[in-house]
Amino acid sequence: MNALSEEVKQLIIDTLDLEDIEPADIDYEDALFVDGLGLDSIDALELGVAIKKAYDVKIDNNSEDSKKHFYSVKTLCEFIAANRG
Amino acid sequence: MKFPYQTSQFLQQQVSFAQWQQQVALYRDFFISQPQQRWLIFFEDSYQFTCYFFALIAANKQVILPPNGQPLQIVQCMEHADIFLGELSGLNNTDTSSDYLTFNLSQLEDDIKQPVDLTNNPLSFDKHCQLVFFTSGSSGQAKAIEKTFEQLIIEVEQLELTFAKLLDTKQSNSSVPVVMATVSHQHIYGLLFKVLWPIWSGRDLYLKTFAYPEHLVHEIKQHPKTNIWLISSPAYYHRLLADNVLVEVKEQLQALFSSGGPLNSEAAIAIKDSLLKSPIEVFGSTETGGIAWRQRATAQDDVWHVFSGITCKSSHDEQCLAILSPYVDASTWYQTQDRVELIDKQRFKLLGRADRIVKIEEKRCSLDEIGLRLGEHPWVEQAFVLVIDAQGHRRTLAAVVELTTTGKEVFAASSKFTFDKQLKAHLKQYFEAIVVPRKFRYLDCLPYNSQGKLNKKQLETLFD
Repeated sequence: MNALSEEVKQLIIDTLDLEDIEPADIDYEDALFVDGLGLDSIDALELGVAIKKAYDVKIDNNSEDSKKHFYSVKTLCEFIAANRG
Repeated sequence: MKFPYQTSQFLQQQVSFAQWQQQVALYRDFFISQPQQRWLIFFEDSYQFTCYFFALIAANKQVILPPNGQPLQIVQCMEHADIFLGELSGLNNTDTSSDYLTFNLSQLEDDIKQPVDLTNNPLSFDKHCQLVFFTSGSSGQAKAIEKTFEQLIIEVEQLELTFAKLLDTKQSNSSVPVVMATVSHQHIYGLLFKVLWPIWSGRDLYLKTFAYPEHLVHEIKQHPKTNIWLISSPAYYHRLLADNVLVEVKEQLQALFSSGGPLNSEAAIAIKDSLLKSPIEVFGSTETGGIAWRQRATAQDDVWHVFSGITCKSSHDEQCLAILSPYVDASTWYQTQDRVELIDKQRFKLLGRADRIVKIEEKRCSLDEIGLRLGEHPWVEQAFVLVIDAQGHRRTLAAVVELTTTGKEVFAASSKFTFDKQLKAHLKQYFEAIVVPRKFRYLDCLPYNSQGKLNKKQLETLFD
């Protein structure tokens, strides 16, 4: 899980062109959107595409579930681990 | 048109108006004999400039004013002119003068021998005589703006009407004020306020360029008991905040004028506290001339008073100011890109530039508004927000920020990441995440040029 979380953090930084931030700055359990890292809805879209491509996972049709999966690095890693192809 | 007053003194040169007119008339008679019609004129020295400028107008030549004397700027402006009249300062490692026709000034010096008979051949000016100014377009290419001599004089007469009474009643000893300036006469603000207005209204001029406020103070002290009108710009006033040397001569400073760009409200009030009066700010552009003015009583006082003679309206959708102005065209509405809230026919508040409204992922936002909100944060002195179109990434906003002392202390003690994050959190109180700047750069001061403008291209490179 540790290696995956580092990978996901790096993916977030690269995909969203985040500046002055190291993987270590992203909290494992903190919210990625709104509060926490403060990403916006366009970031969510871009991150969704990047995660799909990188791990061959399918994003749920259910928006509530997706919200939960994309809540934090932790939830993202769990989602990827459970669904990767 | 003729000079309405015949009393000005050129104090620095110790030249009377009569002597000055002789000089102008001599040049005029020579210029009339020259075949060229369109004259590009550039002088560092304001006194020399006034002589040649009025001589060209009296000779009914088209007068073209480059914004500065940089060699390539002159080459560009020469596309609009037949001949160059002037002196370029020594830094000509790129000598481009062979590319165009330059007037040989020594021809004139030799000619000044006998006085011109001004009784039979007085100085008069065709009101339709044309002038061309250049404004640095945001695209980088200078844009030519045409005016008639009459339009400038109408504006000067309006300045007299608006300010003479206001300023003269404030002072019980009614000695005629002397006009001093820190701005260049090559730009419309300087040409109007420092040259045309005093000459046309018979006020004394002290034509010298003051690079530092210390020089200005020194000269003012040489003329004790004389009231001074200072024609200056935000670039100059903002720098007084750290060390206001003008305090020494504050009793003599009867009026302070500021134009060319926005003056911080904090600066205006700090100057009011230290120099006993806040600057009279004039709002306008090269295209429009002056539109409105204000003299802040408090930092919250943000109402502009429209010059009488100008009619205003604002469009319903974008609230953009349109004016009917005799300085532009008294019969056609001129549409500005300045968004305003009209209070009544003669007063408005500025809301920012319309061309600073952009769409980020379909979200409309005003870059100026975001910048102003950032400026409200205790860490932020001022901020400028711009759009970044990074290759391979979405269009986002970025902010160039000048920090306050507190801001600098906090910045030194924290990581840039957490610092940025807190400024973003501040903005999120007002704006959706999409329009909150994602990238921040911190500079000691925003790089305003001497005309009070920011070079957007230069700021963009901070994010490359």
